[in-house]
Amino acid sequence: MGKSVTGRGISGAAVAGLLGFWLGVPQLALAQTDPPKAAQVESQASGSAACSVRVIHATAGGSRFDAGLEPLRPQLTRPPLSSWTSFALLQQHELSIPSATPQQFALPGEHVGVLSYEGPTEASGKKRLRLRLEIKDGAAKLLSTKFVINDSGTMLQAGLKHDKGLLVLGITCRIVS
Amino acid sequence: MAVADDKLSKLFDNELTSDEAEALRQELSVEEQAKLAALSDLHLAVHDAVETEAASHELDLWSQLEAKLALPSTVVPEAPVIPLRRKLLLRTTAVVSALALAASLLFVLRPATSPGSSCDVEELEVIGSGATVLQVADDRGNDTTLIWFDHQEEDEWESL
Repeated sequence: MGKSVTGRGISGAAVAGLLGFWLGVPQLALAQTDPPKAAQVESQASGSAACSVRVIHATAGGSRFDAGLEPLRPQLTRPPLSSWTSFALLQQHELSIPSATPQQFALPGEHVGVLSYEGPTEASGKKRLRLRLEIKDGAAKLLSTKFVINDSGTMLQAGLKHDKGLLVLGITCRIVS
Repeated sequence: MAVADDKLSKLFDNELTSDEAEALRQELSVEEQAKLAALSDLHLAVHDAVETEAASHELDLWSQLEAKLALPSTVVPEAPVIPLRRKLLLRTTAVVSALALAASLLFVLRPATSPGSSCDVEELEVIGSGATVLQVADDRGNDTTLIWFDHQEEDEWESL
């Protein structure tokens, strides 16, 4: 199972936030916003990432919602995905992706997904991952995108048609080392 | 006429008026006078006996009561006296601290930012009609990036 996209927790940062609150330091608010890319501190591409790729079949009929998709319920039940009423978890790939070593995963319709970890990055003390996602149909790349998400963050991809419905990919990744 | 015993007793106990007592004394026979004397002797004898008995048993109630009152008593400490200014300062500090702690807890325990948010798409290439990058807001106001591209199965794909 992938990590939940929502949650509550008291972390070291929270403790620091508590201290900051007491001191009346406004940096906390700044830490909640995304800094400009230029301000991001790049790290050397190293280590590996652990990614959970949920392959979801969204259809307009029925009201199925698989338990394995509960972490993504807030996103799947909101527009534009709320146009579909049934969500089935077709596959869940747990990938360990060393840096610069793309990992493939199967998709319905003889499509193939490729996920690459291009290294960690950091912004305002927040760890992030740079990843590349490709969806292939044979030799053809239907989609190729590079993106940066927070550690343990989730990105959604949708558009592939499948069995009178839509394929949605929920990609949640965290830095392993 | 014989004097009744109850009248004789009242005479002995001085419960008759002086006229009645005098009149009754005039009527007493020798026998009744002897009874009155016997009553007097008996009274004296009883009185002496009681006094003698009481004298032989000295009654000391205080020592017994004092022994009971001498049980260990708790010493009530003197109530601390706090100056009014200091008391108000302490209360104000306590209230402010409690409010600050509550606010801090609200800050710490607030719903965590969804890890699905804060996705930056740096590159995006697709084959087809195009692609759209959307932000899907959850019920907590956090955004998750959704890359949507129009997939047309009949298209002839070309390598990027």
